Order: sequence, then C-alpha cells, then structure tokens
Amino acid sequence: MTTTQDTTTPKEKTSGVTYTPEDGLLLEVEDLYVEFHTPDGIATAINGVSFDLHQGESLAILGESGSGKSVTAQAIMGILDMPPAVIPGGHIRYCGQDLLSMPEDQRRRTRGPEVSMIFQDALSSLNPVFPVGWQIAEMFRMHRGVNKSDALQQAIRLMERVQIPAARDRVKAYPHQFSGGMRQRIMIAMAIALDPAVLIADEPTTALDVTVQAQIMALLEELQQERQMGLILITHDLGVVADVADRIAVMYAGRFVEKADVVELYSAPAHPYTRGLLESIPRLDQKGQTLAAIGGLPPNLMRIPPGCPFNPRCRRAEDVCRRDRPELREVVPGRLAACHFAEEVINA
Amino acid sequence: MTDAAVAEVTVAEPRDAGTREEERSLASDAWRALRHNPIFWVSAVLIAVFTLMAIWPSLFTNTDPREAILAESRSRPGDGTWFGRDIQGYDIYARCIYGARASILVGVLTTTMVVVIGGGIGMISGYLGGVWDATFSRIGDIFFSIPLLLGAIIFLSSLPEFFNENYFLVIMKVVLALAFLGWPSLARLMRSSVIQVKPNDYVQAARALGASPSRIIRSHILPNSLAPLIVVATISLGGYIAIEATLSFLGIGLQPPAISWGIDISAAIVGLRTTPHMLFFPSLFLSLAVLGFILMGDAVRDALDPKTR
Amino acid sequence: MGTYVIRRLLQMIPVILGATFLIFTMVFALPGDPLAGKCGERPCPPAYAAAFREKYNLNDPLPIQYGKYVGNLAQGDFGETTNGIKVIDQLKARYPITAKLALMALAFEAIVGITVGVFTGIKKGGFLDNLVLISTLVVISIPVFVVGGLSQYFLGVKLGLFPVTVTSANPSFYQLMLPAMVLGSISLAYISRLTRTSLVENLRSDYVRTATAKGLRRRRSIGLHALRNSLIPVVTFIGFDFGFLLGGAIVTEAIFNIPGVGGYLFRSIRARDGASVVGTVTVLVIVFLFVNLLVDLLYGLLDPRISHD
Repeated sequence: MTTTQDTTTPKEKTSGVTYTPEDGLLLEVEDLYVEFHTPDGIATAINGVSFDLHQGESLAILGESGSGKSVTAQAIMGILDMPPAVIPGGHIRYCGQDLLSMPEDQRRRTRGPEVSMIFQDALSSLNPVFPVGWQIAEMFRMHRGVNKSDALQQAIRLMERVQIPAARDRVKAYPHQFSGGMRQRIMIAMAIALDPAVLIADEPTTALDVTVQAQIMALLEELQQERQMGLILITHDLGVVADVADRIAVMYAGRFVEKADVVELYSAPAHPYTRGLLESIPRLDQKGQTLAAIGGLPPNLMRIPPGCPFNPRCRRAEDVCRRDRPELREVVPGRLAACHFAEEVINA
Repeated sequence: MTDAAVAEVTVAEPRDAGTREEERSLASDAWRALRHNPIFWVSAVLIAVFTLMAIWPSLFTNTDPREAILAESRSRPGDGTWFGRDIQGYDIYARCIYGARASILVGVLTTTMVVVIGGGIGMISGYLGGVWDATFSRIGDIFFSIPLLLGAIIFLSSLPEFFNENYFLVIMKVVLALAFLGWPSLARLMRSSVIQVKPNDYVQAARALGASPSRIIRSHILPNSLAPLIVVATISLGGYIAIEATLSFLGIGLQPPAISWGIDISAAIVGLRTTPHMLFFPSLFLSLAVLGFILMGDAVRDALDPKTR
Repeated sequence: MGTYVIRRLLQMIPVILGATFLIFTMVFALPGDPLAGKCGERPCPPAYAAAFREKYNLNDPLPIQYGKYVGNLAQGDFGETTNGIKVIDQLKARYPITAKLALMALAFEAIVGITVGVFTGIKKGGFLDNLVLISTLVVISIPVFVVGGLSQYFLGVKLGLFPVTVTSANPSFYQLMLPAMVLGSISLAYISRLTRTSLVENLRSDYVRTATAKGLRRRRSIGLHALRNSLIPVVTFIGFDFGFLLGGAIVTEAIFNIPGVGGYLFRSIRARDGASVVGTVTVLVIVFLFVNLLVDLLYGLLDPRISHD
C-alpha cells in the first residue's frame, strides 16, 4: 500500500466498479431533501441543499445542533435509519453516479473505499468488544479480501501513520484502553484505510480537550493534503474550521444560508446568522466586552416559520422577511447568501 | 422461575421530583397506557376469576371435590361431568375449581411476606449503608446462591410432621419455605431503588431541613421504589404459584387431602396413555393462573416504562 | 486472569460456607426431630437413632456440629442413604446422565432462543415480533412439569416422535432429546426475549452505525458487531438460570424416568430418605456456585471492559 496516490488515475477496487472524477469533481449534492416521519408529524431536516466537492478541497458545514449538518453527512454516507428518515427528493452524485439510485450492494461497496466517515464520539463509535487493530484490519479483509495477518500488518502501519505511539504493541488493545485523542486517531486510521476519495468528519474534535483538538485537526489536514481527499468537515465551532477549511457553508434549519471562501466569510459575513456566530466567539482583543450571543432558539423542524426561517431571531428582520423566503443567491461574485438584506450585511 | 423473572426487570429511573402532583400525573399516564393495553384486561380478568374461585369456589360448582364416585373412575369429559373424573373418581372440574385456593393463597401470602421482609431489609441496607448494607448484602448473596426450588426441597423435607396437621399449616409450610428463600431478590431491588433516590438533591434537602428518616422514606423513597417493586412482586406471584405446584408435584409441597393442581397433575402423569384429560385440565388451570400474573406484571412494566418495548 | 480466578475462588469460600450453614440449619436446627422422616414412614429404631445422632454429632453444641458437618463435606462425605449406601457413590453413578441432559437443554435453549431473539429483534414491531413476545410469555407461564407431561403425551404417546420414557440406564442422545427440549423450554422463552431486547438496543448504537459506514454487509454488522455485544447479558442470564435448570432437571427426570441425579432426588423425596435429599441438593448447590464462577470468567472474555486484574 502506498501512502500517497496519483490523483488522476482511477483506483482499483475489488468490486470491479471504478469511479473516476471528471475535472476533479468528486461529489455533487443537488437539491437534497431529508424528512423524518415521526408519530408527532413530519420534521424536515434538510430542505433543498446543494453543493459540490472537488479533489483536495475541504468544505466546512457549519451550524448549530439540529441545523441538519449531521443529517447531510449521514445522507451522503447512506447511514440514515430509513425509516424514520425519508429522502423525498434530490441527488447525491459521486463521480457522476447517483448514490441514491444505486443498488444497495453497490452503494455499500463505496463506503470505505470511496466515501468514508469519522464520528464525534470515538468511544461509542468503536466496537467495545473487538481490539482496535482488528477493527481497522476488518476494512482490508472485507473490502480487499486480504488475509488476517496481512490485514493486521496494514492496520499497524496505519496506526503508525496516525501517530499512535507503540502501535505494534497496542494493536491488540481495546478501545477503552486508549485516551480520547488516541481513540479518534484510531477512527481516522480506520476511515482512511482504503484511501477514500471523500472523507466526512462529523464533529471530529467536539469530545476532546482543546490541545488534543488542535493535534487531531492538524493530522486531518496533513492527511487530506497528502492524499488529496475531498474533506467535508461538519462542525458547530468556527474556531476549528478556520485553519483547515477552504470553503464554508453555513446551515440553518435544513438550508444553506451562506456559502463563501473561509477568509472572505470571516472578514465580511453576508448573512445576519453568520455575523451572529462570528460575534459570539470570544476574542482576546475585545476583552471586557459583552459577548454577543444569538438570542432565541433554532426553529422546531416540524413548524419552520414562513418567510426567512431565521427571522424570529434576526435583529434586522422586516415584514418582507416574515413573508418571503430569501433564496440563496450570489451577492458579490463568489459569495452566496440567503438574505433579503445580504448587500447591507456584507458591507456593514 | 421467579429468579428469572426478576432478572428481566430493571430498576426504573428515579424521578426528578417526588411531589404529589408529579406522582399523580405519572400514575395517570401509566393508567392511561394500561387501559389501552388488551393484555392488561386479559390478565385482569384471569386474576379476578381465579381470585373469586379461591374465595368462593361454590360459586362455580356445587360438586364436592372430595366426593369419590369410584364406579365412574376415569370417565371422560362429557360423561356426566364437564372435565371427566380421575382415578379416585373425583370430579376433575370441581377439583380444578377448588385447587385455585391453595395456589392463590400460597402466591399471595408468599408475595406479601417477601415484599415485607425483602423490602424492609433492602430499605435498611440502602438507607443506612455501611455495616448494615455489607452484612445484609452478604447474607443475601448466600441465600441467592441456593436455587429456590432446591432450597425449598431441603426446607420442606426437614420440617416436622406438625405442619401437615391442618390445611392452613400445610399452606403455611410452603409459604414459609418460599419466603425464607425468596426475599433476597426483592431486597436487592429495593436496595438499588433506595440508593438511586437517596443522593438526589430533594432528599438531601429534606434531610437538611430535619425531616425524620421515616418521613423521608414515606414521602420520597417509597414512591420512587414502589413501581419496580409492584412489577417484580406481581411476576413473582405467578412464579410462586408455579413453584408451589412443582413442589406438590414432587410430593413435598401440599399433601392430600389438600387439593392442589400440582398434586392432581402428579397423579395424572401415571395414567397418561389412557386418560390424558386428567392431565390436561389441571395443567390448563395452573398455566392460566400463572399467565395471569405474569401478563399483569409485564403490562404494568410496559405502562410504567415505555422504553422497554 | 490467574489471580482473578484465585480471588474469585477465595470469595466463593464464605458463600459456600454460608450456603452449607444455611442447608445445615434447615436440616438440623429447624424445630422438630431431625430423625423424623429419615427412616421412611416408620419411626427410627433406637440403634439407628443413636448411630445417626453419633454420625451427625447431634449431641455436640451447634457450632461444633456444623464444623464436623463441613469437615465431612470437604472430604466428599455427603452422608448415607437409609440403606447405608454412600450418597456420593450414588451421585457419581448418576451425574453423567444429568450433565448430558443439562448440556443438551442448554444447547437447545441457547441456540433456538438466540435465533428467535435475533429474528424478532431485527424485525422489531412486526407481526412475528408480537407473536413471539406474547407466545414466550405463555411458555414462561407453563411450569416445566406441565410442559413435560403434555409434550410426553402429544409428542411421545400420540405422535410417537420420541420415546415416551427412558428405559436404559445409559440413555442415548435420541432418548434424551425430548426431555432436554422440555427442560430448556422455559429458559428458551427468557433467552429469546432477552436477546431481542438487547439486540434492539445495540442496533441503535454508534458502533453499529460505524460498521455500516465501514461498508460491511448488513449480515456482518448485525450478526457480528451487534450480536457479539448483545450476547453479554444473555450469557450472564444462562449462568444465573443454571439453578433453575437444576431444579427443572429433578422434575424432568421424574417425568421421563431418567436415572440421573434429579430422578434419584425425586425418588429419595418420595421414599422420605432425608440424608440422600440433603446430600444431593448440597452437591447441586455447589455445582451451581461453580457454574456461576465459570460464567463470571466467560463474561470477562466476552466483555473486555470487565477488568480481571
């Protein structure tokens, strides 16, 4: 196994199906909807979301809990519980092929070798009764048909790659015997085992200490550049994304409200919600000032308010906001926002 | 059997507050869930019928269960009697009806004793902790290490003849054996309920305000531990009925002339090939009685904790 | 692991001492004459009575009586039958048959119970699931001796699928099949319910989601990742339930006339042979304690989070 790969040649898969990205375009999500059918009613978790992801690009999806960012990730991965989840519309194309209309067995084979995912809580996401090396080696054994001992050797190499000290000695240890940061490294090793083209990281550092957070993010960035993966970083933490992400999509009540390059978004947000998020980060140079938190709560997904879903919490809201839902539109070249007053916000 | 039933029951989460209003709403929620559960009604009817049978058997039959008509011995169902007659010429229907009394008595008395003894000991170890807890828990471990049926066999085989003198004493010896060996499961359950409730802020607050232990137990700990206790006690009641019948079947529980389903089943096994009806009817009554209590316990548990389904 | 086994063995000593003391108390310290019922229906001849008192040290103070009793147990002396045959010799001849029956029953209940539990667990809420949930409750309610009697009649006498009773002193696999199924039937219901509950819970867990995200087949995610975790409580239950299995073996062996330990115990109860009853049950209790130790060790193997250091 090589640790670096040529980004232009297709990878060989045991399934026989090859996926070749055209012009580096890996993933296209188009007008995606996800609903949860519960006894209390239908909750619309994702309400027409579209975005692209290219090789070597990292996209951060930012939002509060319940905004639909994790559901988006799970829909791409194909690990939503259906029912209660239903995907009434939209497309998720990987290298031009629609994952949603693919036969389940073919789609299953994309999980791991093509698209892969790491989760927030590594302790509960790793199986407590199997050794970590075994769990990593399972990827090689099940997808590539590698025998047990060779797969274990490859698992050791991966554990070394994600900088787990004394990997050879710890390959037979169980998840609970590792620290939180080490467990997340094991999750990462498992996710990158088969050289996926797309890696989705769902709040990868939320459960960790601040110092460990930085180490894990640095490792993710390093691996992404080394392997030219497309990275989707799901987070609620603006601080985490600043260094790693190229682009940011801000999500609110199941919709994207703003999409921009990371630097531009930080310097001049085009949506009041984004502005609110930025203002709620404590900053050293503004010591002594009150932190501006966004008042109110995100809407109940079964009763999203008419007009702009953010209007009940928005300081700028006017009648038009309560009446017409703003579409995601280009405000200035390369900047998209869903706000009737985006031009004013961006120049404020 | 009861041990197994207890193993399935987990202690319900302690509630956040022990106020009267919340108790009432939780109870009414549970009652609403129960009312819409057909299993609850089936079990309630079964229990009601068997209880009535135990208290007032003559309501169901005019026949004397000890009236032996040897000439009609082993007659089939329908030949003058509903369920036929057994080897002794007794009317099987009448014996099935009168057999309910022993089963229900043993079940109810044993459960009462086990709840009082086990609940009390569990309360003491959970509330006082320390040496009391350690002592009672170790003693409980020892009792727990003896399977109920095996322990009951030793207990009963060692009791003096005195206990076979009259109906009440015969019943009591089985009750004593089961209660003597059966209390630790209830004690464990009570202890864990108390330990879960005790550290809660409102209990600590009540203690700080000078409430007496008996008041804390009555107004905070009992309401929170009652639900799992009721569930386990109901299921156990069914289990005790089954064990009584098993002991009587083995010839060590109730003895003739006492009337018990277990004794009749034991007698029927001998004539299995020719007269299966002698086996079938007491078996049916016994199983339905046990089923009634187990279904009831299950329905109440579901109503109190919807997560389990 | 080694130190853990030793520590557990040491911890078992007080429980065994306590259990034997309890048995001793029940046999010798309950009100009444310990000789009562030790010689069948007749009162004991004075010579035998004197020998009995001497043998069980009944003339000594209670603690010394108990000390000598335990000393005898430790040397493998479990007393003598009324005919002067050593209980331990009787047990040695019979335990392989009971062990065979118990293992067959365990295999039956584990294999069928887990299979049923898995199928209902992955189709939670479906018709099959509800059918199994209710029918297992019904099965739980039917005491072993009723299941035994009825299946003996229907499967043995009526349909002729199985031998009705065991006739040989060394019963074959086929002869023990029906008794083993009867013995395992009730625990089977508990195991399938427990497997179902536990599997349903684990199917919702994060690591099963990870298994799906790893691109594993559904069969592997459920059959290996979820099931492996779901079996931990099931194994604990099987060990816990072993005591019930031993009790059930007495009944089953009595019904099917199997010459094992349980059948021997049953005949000893009928013959009012107290020494045999006590000796046999004591052995069974000790076996039960060791099985629980084994299950604890197995538990540690199944769940690496349990520390055995």
